[in-house]
Amino acid sequence: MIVSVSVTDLSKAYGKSLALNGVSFRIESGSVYGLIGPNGAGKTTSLAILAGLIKPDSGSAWILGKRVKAGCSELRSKVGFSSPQFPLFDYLTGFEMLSTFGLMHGLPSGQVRERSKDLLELMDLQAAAGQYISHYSQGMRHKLGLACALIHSPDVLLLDEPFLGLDPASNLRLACVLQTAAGKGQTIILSSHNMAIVERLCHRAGILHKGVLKREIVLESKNTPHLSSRLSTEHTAGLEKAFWKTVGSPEMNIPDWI
Amino acid sequence: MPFAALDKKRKLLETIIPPGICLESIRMIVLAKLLLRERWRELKLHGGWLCHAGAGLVFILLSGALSHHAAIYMKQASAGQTAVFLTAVWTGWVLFAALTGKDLSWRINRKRLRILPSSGFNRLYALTFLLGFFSFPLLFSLCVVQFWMNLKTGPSISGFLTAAAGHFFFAATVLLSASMLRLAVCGCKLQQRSSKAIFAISLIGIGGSILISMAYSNARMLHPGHLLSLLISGEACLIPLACLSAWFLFLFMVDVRIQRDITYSELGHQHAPESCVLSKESLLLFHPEWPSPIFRIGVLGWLRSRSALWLFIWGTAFSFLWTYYSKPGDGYYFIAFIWMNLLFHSYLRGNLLGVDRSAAWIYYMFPCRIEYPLSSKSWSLSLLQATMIASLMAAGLLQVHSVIDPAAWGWIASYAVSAILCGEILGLSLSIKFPEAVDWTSQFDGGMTVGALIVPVIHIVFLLLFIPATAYLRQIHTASMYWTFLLFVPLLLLIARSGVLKSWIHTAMLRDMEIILKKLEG
Repeated sequence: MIVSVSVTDLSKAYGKSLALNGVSFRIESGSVYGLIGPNGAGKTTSLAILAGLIKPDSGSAWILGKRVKAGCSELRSKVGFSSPQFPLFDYLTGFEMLSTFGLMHGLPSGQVRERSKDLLELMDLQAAAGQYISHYSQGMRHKLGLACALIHSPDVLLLDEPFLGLDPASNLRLACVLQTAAGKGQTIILSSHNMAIVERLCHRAGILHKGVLKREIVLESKNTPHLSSRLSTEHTAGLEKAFWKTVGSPEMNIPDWI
Repeated sequence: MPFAALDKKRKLLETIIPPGICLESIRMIVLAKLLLRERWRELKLHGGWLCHAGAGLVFILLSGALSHHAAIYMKQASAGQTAVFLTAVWTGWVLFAALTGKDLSWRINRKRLRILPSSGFNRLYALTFLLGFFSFPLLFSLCVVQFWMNLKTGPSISGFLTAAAGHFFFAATVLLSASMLRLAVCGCKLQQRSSKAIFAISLIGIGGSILISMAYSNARMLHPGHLLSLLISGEACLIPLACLSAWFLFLFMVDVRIQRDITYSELGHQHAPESCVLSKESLLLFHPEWPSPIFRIGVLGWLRSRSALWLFIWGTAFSFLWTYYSKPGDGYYFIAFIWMNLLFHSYLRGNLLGVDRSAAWIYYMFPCRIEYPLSSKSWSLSLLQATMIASLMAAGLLQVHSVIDPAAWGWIASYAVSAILCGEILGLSLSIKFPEAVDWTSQFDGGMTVGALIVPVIHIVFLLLFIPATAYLRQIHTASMYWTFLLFVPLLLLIARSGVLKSWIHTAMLRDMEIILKKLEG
């Protein structure tokens, strides 16, 4: 197995408060790794360090064999990052924001247009594509942030709370997208409080508590049917079944390029 | 505040005033303390005590210098001349505030305070309005007015109080008028019909009073500027004070009504019409290699910020029309106009990342050198400034090209390019050192950045160096030396901006990454 992401003895303090204390883990290519833990456990800090947005006090992080350093532009084109704590330019429209990301990552304009439209449709944001982001709801901003992280098909996806505040349809769609991306070899690290989704989606999960990686758990084999099959009535039960029956099953057109 | 101490104070107050009013007063005191503490922490985060001590020193020095020069002229000035001056100050201040969103006061976002158990909007409004006067520029102007009053009537307690009241009413009429004009500029929509009607009538009233006072000398009698001049010259006291307070009361009541409507509605946001989707799409995706997407979103960012947009429209249209119709006779007019245009953009120039707010983290995720996005934003602002200057030069070339010789045009062009580059160098450094979040959708974007103070000062220094140096070279040395100097100055600044500064920005942006993003959180 090729190791895509490797973190060794990572520590970070904000003033007197220790956010990370000697965290180490390794993640193989094409796998989904879940970071779980209570609020303030250090999940966002870990992901932001991997994205090169925060400098660690000690330790090192490696992505695709390269050491993560703030300002290392070579690595940025291979990484996609999204977090509800990191906002977008709210003077741009949703479409413009996505296009800017696509163009900055060197995609040709035709591809940018095509992928932007695909992602806006996937995230159910077509109707708001021409509106300023300042007018988006929290959930819409979050979905757009996820789309921005996906547009350049990065080798490594760092997603902080990707399912936070999403409606059930978007939740399911995103889970399917991540499962598809991992199946194609992308490495995904996500943090979440939603244990059910982590259990269903991730190959391994790390439990962070007070800045320390207390435990790593190997989750059951992911050779289970694709998550989209959960919409079929035999897989759903109770409230979920009633919900899908009432609002109708969501479209699951995952673009080929993801 | 500890609850025990609060209870003790409450019990003490309840012995003097009725319990209901007592509770409201305590709430207001606690809220005021909370806001002041927050303001202090914000100031500490953005500049530290050294920076604010520096700003205080600049204001004291300015106050001293202004007072000294004012003393020389004002001793001979009649009440009429003072009135003309103060009327111009009032109009200029209102227009500046309406265009830039900076009215020199401390603006508190009332929408944020809705969640607190405050006692009604009127009290909340009154508190935030009064706290607005705790700002360096307003306290500085109070000092100048006090000095003025003492100069005219001699030091006395009654004179001190009259001048303080006059200053308060004068500044308040500016802030309230600017507030209403700013609402119109921002395109904020009111919900209630009655508010809309009151707003429209008030706008017509304010606009009319500005125009009438500019056109008819007799009508100036009721202008706040004229009334303040009567107060501080000691010619009259009661009637001007009564008229000023009437002005204030009228505007205050109207603004309370309108602000209540705005505060409890969510209609302050701007919508991008659906029909714009295609044009915006083509703007970014049309010929994507040049100019870069970062440069293009930089231009979009400036043009979508109401303050920057209105400054740009005003600067371009006013420069052209005023120059076209006034037919200036020498190059100094153009130099002064260029300087003024650049000065208006100071607060944008000194805070390039402000409009991006905490979304500036995205620049750290783009696969390019980190100095490139900031540099592109700076060039995009320079493009707007160059357009404003080009409209000024175009009007000059159309009207007075025969009066001004080519050497003078070269001199003007050299100053324009050099001043823009000087602003670029300053702006880039200050934007990294003192970034501050700017809410582009709000009626007022609050505070005064350090950059907004330093950029104008350096522009003045640059002007004071450039003009004597070129005048000396033109008189003493040969034409070739003069032209070499005119080319050398912008070239030197360009090298400094593109070469030396580039590596510094790279290092500083990476080194201070977390601090920059923290400051931009707003």
